[in-house]
Amino acid sequence: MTERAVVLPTEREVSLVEVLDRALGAGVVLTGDVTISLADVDLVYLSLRVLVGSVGTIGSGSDVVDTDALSLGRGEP
Amino acid sequence: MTATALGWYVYCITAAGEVPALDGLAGVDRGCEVGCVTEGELSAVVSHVRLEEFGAEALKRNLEDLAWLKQTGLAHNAVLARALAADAVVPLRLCTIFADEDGVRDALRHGRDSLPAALTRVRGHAEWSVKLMADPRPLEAAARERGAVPIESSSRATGHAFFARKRLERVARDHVRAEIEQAVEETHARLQDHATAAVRLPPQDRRISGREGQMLLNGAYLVRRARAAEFAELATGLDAGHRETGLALNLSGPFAPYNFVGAESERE
Repeated sequence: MTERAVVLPTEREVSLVEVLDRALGAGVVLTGDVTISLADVDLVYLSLRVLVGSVGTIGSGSDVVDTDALSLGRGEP
Repeated sequence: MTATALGWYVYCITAAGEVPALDGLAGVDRGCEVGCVTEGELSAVVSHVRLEEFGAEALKRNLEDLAWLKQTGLAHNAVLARALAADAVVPLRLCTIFADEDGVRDALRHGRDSLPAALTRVRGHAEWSVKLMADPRPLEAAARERGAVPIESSSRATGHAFFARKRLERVARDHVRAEIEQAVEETHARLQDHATAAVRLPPQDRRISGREGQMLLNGAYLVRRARAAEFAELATGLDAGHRETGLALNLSGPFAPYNFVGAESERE
């Protein structure tokens, strides 16, 4: 995923939040007899929980999460 | 089932024969290359995933693991970015996984009525995101400034002046707020004019966006690829015009057209 040159300074890269917001919250849901993926409703719920939870994790200074790589739109390049 | 049981992870759908070169592209499961499965008029961009990591039970656990989610989301996104070289791409929800190739083919057969319409809708387009964030400080400053102007000439007693000032500040603040609202509406309208389709998504929670200020617009725009530069220029221009109001515009993309392919597809 590329960025245009005119993109504003805070958006040096497409943030993970942008990606997950789309990939978890939108896009076509294919269902079939043999689908293993979670039901769409579960995913939406889960994604919100995970995203909200993620910020708590970062704030608590957990060493599990690489906050820098997460690029949660803090505006730092 | 052995320890290396594999599932088929599907990233997106294209028209048959339109899948771009995917050589050397790694999937969400490291080491599994991306390829395609074609059934009738449709192709699916796929890769193998190990079920010990992507099976139903493991998924529930892994989706709660932020590091895993991050890695998977970015890998998924990297595949979509490459697939976007195709003229028309219908992106799927993250972690759409089938037990075997037949499952993928079944899904493509089930989608033969609706997926071509979605492909037609997004052909030659990509999705762009525009967000407007309000910085409350300029708003407050503007309110104070405007509240201050008439009071100097109209008040005498200090107590009276205090309350009059407060009231004027409130009026001025409401006024500035209305101006900002109007600016948001106009921004969306201008962008929408340059887009084939547009949708206003719920503003992201501050805790999720990690951004300062309040998100007033979270717009997704389906933009003809040939007009992408024009769209970006428009966004940049709108941003420059908003700086004094304390509105910051944020453009990102291009994304696969997630928000313009319909949330639901094939169900029997």
